[in-house]
Amino acid sequence: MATTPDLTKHRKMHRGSRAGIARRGHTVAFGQFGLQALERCWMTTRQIEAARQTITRTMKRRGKLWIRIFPQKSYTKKPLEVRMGKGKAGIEDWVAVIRPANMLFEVDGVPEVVAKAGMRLAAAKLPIRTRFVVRGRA
Amino acid sequence: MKSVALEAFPRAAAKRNAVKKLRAGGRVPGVLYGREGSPRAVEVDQKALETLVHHATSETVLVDLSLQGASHLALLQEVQHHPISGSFLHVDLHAVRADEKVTVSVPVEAVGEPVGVKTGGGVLEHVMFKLKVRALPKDLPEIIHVDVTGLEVDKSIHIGEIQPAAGVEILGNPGFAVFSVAIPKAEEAKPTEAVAVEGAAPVEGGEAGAAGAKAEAGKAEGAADAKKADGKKAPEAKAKGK
Repeated sequence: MATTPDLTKHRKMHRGSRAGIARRGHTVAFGQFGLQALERCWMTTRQIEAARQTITRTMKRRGKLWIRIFPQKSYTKKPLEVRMGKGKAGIEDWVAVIRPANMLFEVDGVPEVVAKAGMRLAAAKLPIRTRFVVRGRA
Repeated sequence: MKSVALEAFPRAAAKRNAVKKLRAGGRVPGVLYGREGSPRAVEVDQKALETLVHHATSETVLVDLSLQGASHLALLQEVQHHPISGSFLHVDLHAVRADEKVTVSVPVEAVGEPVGVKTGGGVLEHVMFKLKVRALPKDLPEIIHVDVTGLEVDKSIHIGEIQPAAGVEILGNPGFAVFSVAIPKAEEAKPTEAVAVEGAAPVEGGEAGAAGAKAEAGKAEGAADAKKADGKKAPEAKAKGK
């Protein structure tokens, strides 16, 4: 799985805003079951990868998984015990900006019990509250 | 498709704040439009709409709308939901004529388990969840069932192969796939590594092996970085010492 963008116009970005709720990417669009965010966060590549591995292993050889989020955003962090100034620090990590209602993962081709178990274990790897959703079921 | 009765009321509240109050009062704002006449702002009872939608197979429902004593045949063209709570935000009602064909998106559902999934180890991919159909309102299907039991691995059912009911025409490119059975790609790549590393289940082992290799590479890089860092820090320390 790609964990960072191949190319960005500018390496270092502004912090941006995480306000509001997701107005796009909040529906089950590809699979039958989904994991929906209920809180906002910056989700790192490691967190996404950990959740992905958990779902894949729970589903074993069956089914198909869609990762609906991608860490498009870089953030920087100054090293410890460094005085302020002297320019913007180096890139620390890449994150996906998650707002409430964002669909994080989707699966299909497995029974609901299996999908739910996978999503439950994956949710434990994530820094926010999530919920399991089924296509067409409000 | 049978029509279901729904009562609508004319709506004066149009701005955001007024519409919010309307929703808080148990009404859902909507609009009624069609070929005849100009669009009209309406409101419907939230509970009545909930009952209507939850008892229907899809959100495309034919309603017998009564508005100020007049009756209109209308389709629930679009129902907007809140992304988190799922509550109704707005409803589009498309006024149609009983003797005029309409184009509507209808959900497609697979019936049976494909041969490719049962014996071939494939996964049934639902490529298109809705199909556009054209028919008279009374002939509109609520859902299109497609028998997929004969579907083998790497085969698809296309729009052109689906037999619609009498009086119904399925629109769209006949060559577009609706269902297909494919072998999952992720599981194919790494079995050799898995056996070599752990002798565990191919997929898990493969990932673990890859992760282990990455971790080792990471350690090596880390060590190199540490050396570099030491090299960089040393002159500073000397300078501070002075």
